[in-house]
Amino acid sequence: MGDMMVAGSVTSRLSRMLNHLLLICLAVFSILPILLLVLNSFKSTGEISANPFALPLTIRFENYVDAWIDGRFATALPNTVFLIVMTVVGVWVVSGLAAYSLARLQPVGGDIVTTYLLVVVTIPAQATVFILFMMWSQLNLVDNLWGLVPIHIANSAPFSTVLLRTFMVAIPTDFDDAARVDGASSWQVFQNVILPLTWPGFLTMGLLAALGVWNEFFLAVTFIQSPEYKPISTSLYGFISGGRFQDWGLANAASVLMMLPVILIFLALQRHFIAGLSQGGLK
Amino acid sequence: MYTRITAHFNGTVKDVRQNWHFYLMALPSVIAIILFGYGPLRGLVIAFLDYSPLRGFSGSEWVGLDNFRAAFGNPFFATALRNTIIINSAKLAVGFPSAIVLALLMNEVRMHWFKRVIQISTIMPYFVSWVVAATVFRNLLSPEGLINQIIVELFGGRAITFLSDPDIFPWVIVFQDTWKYCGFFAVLYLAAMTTIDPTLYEAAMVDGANRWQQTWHITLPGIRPTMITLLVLLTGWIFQGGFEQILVMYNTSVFVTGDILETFTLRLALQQSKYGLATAVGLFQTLISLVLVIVVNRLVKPVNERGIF
Repeated sequence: MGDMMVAGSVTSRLSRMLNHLLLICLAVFSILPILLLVLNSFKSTGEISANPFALPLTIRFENYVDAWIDGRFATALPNTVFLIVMTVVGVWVVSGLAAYSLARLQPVGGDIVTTYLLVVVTIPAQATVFILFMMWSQLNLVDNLWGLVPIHIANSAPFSTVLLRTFMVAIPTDFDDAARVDGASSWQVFQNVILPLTWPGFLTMGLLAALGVWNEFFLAVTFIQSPEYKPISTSLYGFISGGRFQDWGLANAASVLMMLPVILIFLALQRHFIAGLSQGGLK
Repeated sequence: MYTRITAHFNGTVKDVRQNWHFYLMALPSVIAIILFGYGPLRGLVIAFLDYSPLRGFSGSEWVGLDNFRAAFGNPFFATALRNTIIINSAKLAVGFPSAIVLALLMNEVRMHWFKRVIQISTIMPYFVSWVVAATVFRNLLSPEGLINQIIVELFGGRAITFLSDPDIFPWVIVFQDTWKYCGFFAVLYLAAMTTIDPTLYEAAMVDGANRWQQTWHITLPGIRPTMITLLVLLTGWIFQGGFEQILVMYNTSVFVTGDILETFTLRLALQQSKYGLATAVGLFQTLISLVLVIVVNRLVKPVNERGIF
């Protein structure tokens, strides 16, 4: 490889520079708007409209305090955390077990189930949401956080199952057989062979499900009306689109509060996340 | 034929008896799918009823296809349908190749840390919710936002009302969508590129192929299965989707070009309590999307040997 690169050195170095320059532009295009949001969250509205790109004159942490109080983060955050924990655990159980049996058992109609799961991913829930709403009101599950949990699980489960199945198919069945020779039951094979080998998949899937719940807006706005049950997304939206929208610094601070945990968790786990996505990805 | 069926059936019974723990494991998700995937489908009957929540399923009058006729006759339906197709097709036309180009560019990078930094920066917007993305883009595009500051202060031009001009609004939506998803899809393509056999490149270099020729003849064919899978899945989104984004971005001044079928049905259901009508539109969208996905899958089969299902 080395010889060839030296041979066409001038043009290849030029095209490499161009390539890197383009990539830097794209990276800036991706994160500049986010950085601007953070920058503006420390300013007053007057400062933002005067010169959006300047550094804040005085760093206004008050924006964050006000946003925390007005956006009702203290009640919304526990609600969202509850939804995330229940959903992720639920998805792990449902998709983990389903993927295990789809990957290992070749059950009757297993291919049809896998196809169904793949197709259902492309069909968003909007078509059935009003009906779901009516069913849920008969069951007294509207305006109730427990009512949202099964919907979130059902939304995340198909893609998670497909992803996890891909992970499990990649593990040689010799591993199972070896464990079975030692007298392991199906559950023990799952627990001691499959789980330790596929945990990056579980992690990625859990992150995706958690992200979905954290950012989810439509179901929350449809099913939850009481302020004390609102999760972060609708609580924040109500606050931004409400009376104080004109206060830009505040709207920006509230948005940063919503974005920050996700970004921090991603940065901490990005290696595993990208690896998990790549391994399980659509192949 | 009969013997084959009974043999198959006996095989199934034996299979179930031997592997009952596996079937038990699949049970929770089968129940979940039946309850939440198919349960609501029973309610699709509403599309054929003059439904009111007070009268319930049995008390509402059966009106046949009246809801569909009323929906298709509604002047806002035609606008919403057109907008849905235009916006989502434009998203596909811009977003799909962008992710491939980004992945190809990243694939050429040899410095590991640089590749990592680019990958992290470009995937970052994927984690930003639409509610937050709306604030992000208001910072940029509102009349006092960054872009207009640059236009007015630096170039002495006139401020552009990006968010309330019906001619520009759809492009803002397409641009924002690409901003959010490009890096995420690029990861999937990049993953596919790493599985390409390196000896193919070595052979091409021996034959004197340059980087462009290698990209065209080895890398692109190598990621074709991933490209086709994503293309088929994304065509399912031409008739629906992008709902939350529009909901938090649009306003009455851009209804002409920004109102999509989902926002149209949301207003029908929530403001006018026309549940039957709203469900009819939803059913129409789902059926069209399903047909589209199946047709596109058929079309790509010759190219991709087996399609995605």
